[in-house]
Amino acid sequence: MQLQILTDAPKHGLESDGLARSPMVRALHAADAFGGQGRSFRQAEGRAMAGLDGLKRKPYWRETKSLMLLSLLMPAIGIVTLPFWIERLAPFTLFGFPLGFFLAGNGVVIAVLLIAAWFSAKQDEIDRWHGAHEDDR
Amino acid sequence: MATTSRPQSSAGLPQPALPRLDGALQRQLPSYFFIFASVIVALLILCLMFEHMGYPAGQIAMALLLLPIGLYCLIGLAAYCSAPLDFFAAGRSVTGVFAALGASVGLLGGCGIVALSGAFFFLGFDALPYLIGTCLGLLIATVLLIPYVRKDGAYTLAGFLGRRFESRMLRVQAAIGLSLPALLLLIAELKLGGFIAARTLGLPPMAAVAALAGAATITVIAGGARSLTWASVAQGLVALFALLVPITIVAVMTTTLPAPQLSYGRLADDITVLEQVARFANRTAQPMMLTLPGSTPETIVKPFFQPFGSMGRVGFALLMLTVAFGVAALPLLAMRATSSVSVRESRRMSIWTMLFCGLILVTLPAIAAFARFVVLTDLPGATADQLPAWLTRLTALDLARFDAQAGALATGSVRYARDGVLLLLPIAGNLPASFVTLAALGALSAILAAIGTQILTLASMWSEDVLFAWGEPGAHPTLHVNATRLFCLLTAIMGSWLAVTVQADPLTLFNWALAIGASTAFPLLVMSVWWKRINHWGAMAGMAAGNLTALLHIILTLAGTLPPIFGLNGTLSAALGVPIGALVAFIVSLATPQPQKRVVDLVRDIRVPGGETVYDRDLRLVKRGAST
Repeated sequence: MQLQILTDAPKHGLESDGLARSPMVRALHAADAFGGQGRSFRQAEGRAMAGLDGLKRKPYWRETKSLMLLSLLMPAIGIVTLPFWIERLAPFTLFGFPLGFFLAGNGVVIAVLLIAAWFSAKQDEIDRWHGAHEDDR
Repeated sequence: MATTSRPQSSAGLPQPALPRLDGALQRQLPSYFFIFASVIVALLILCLMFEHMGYPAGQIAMALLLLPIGLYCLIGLAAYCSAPLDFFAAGRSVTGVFAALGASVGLLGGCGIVALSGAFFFLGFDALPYLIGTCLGLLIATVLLIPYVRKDGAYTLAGFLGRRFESRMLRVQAAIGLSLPALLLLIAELKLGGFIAARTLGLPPMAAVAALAGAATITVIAGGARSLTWASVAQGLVALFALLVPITIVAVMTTTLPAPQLSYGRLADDITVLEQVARFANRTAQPMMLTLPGSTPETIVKPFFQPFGSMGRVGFALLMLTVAFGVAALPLLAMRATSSVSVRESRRMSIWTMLFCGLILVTLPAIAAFARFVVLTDLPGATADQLPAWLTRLTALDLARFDAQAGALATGSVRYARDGVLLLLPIAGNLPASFVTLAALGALSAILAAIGTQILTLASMWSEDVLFAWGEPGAHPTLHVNATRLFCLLTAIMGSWLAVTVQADPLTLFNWALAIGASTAFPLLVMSVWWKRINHWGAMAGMAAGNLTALLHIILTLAGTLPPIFGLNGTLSAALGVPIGALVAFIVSLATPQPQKRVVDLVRDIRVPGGETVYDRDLRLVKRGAST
């Protein structure tokens, strides 16, 4: 097991020395065999791409991207178009508020919070599923 | 399952130094802050008792204001640290609800609490773009930026961009481009602080500004981000308490219901009737129109619940987006992100921040509605000889003015100071004077948190990203920290000088800061994480284009030489700056060579939460290289 880590990690270390600020740091990165993400993530990713898990699994970033679009597009569209439909709700009231005022004043905050909480839970799930999460400390 | 295969000791490699988590301290923090909160409550009760016993009001106000501010300074000094990781990123040890409370108050600051409550008082519905925009901006930041900035771990936003594109020129450019909005915010906060402190402590505005800048500097200079984090928790607790208590009391007295955020709907009908009695006409605004209350006292003219009276629909939408993008691109969010303990925690903390920001922002229209209700109820029928008691108190504090010539007071003859509405509520609700001081204390706490945040943001950008832009990471740690401390001092002095000399309205400065910040950094930040093809040429061009567009638009509309493009107000210059910046970054990136593989690999690294924080790995490698 130890041997295996040693054999596939150096290559990875060479690949991901993207932060080199200077030739010196760059050289140090090249020498750092164990920098970067863990092996398990890369392996899981490789398996997912090769379809080896027998599951229809999207690669990590594609799944993250669709979650991003899901959690931003809906509220963004709803909120940007808000000035153009909010007045139609004027005849209704809630807790005494004109409904439009309540939605724009309190409803938006609640909606955005719920979406953010959902996003966070979902992203954690994706991270764990792909082995891309952090060590539990 | 562990994701990081760290060097094994058997392989003869040293273990990487993990960021230190002050475990014991973290566990004790809630009790410390509980004690702090009890001290504040006890202080308030004591002041109320002394006030009742007839002690001089000035001394009581002094005690109630100065003791908490002294405590903030003490907390800041007690969090002294000298290691760069502690000073710039609070040791990457921040977690939990408390720190998020501090972050949210530092983010909103005086502009988002004091000036905005005034905007709600005058505009009602039409001030909602700020509330909606802030929430949307935080959501955007949480989803698009914060986890990735945290994984990279650079100490500043400019540092993040510089590292992301491996370009020191870009780093310097970003630091300069982002320091203008931060400086504008600092000036706005200091001006607001001067306004409030001058009225409650009786200081001349100049001295008040200098005192606030001094207090904020003492708070952050000892421990940088560490001091700022823990001091702003205390400031956040006080600000939230001081914001919620007077309004809750007034709400219970008026409607017999607590939770004013939900109960002021009960007043909707009354307010509308009162407004009709006062002959407020429903106003119609052109689609692109945008009128905001200025800093000189004004009369109320717009019905509270009427939508789009002083702001057109398009203007409303554009203002929401400007605020959203501006908030998402604030350098202070990046600083808060990098100081959190992990990528996951940074995400969770920004959601907590969103919750507290939302709670504060939702309270503001309630404050405005109750204030307006009291004002509209009491004024008609009063004569210049028989003023309502609160109006006398307000005019004594120079928070309201009225035309004494008219025999009977009408609603239209009294003008209110926008930034005094937070103080207006306890005064108009006839609460004891200590509650007025408490409201001022809350405002000053939020302002101090924001001043400290801006001072530290500016100082660390100027020292890390301009002065030491060409240095090796991790070299001369003490020099970096001390240079930043020096820059904190310089920033505070420069900021207070500018705040005293520059004649401008804080809310306008706040708007400009958001618009310029959004145009400069927002498209770039999003693309730097979500588009691998962007290279440093595109980034530099996009940043320059966005920045210049916004600046030129603001300056030209101010000077009046430019007929407003599509009727765009200077406040909305992000409506031009953001798309132009994004477009230029896109085109220039595609026209120039692909980024190097190294850079693309860095993006891949940033995108995955697991593994060592990238910046810390850099430092570790440099250290190892130096020792061998």
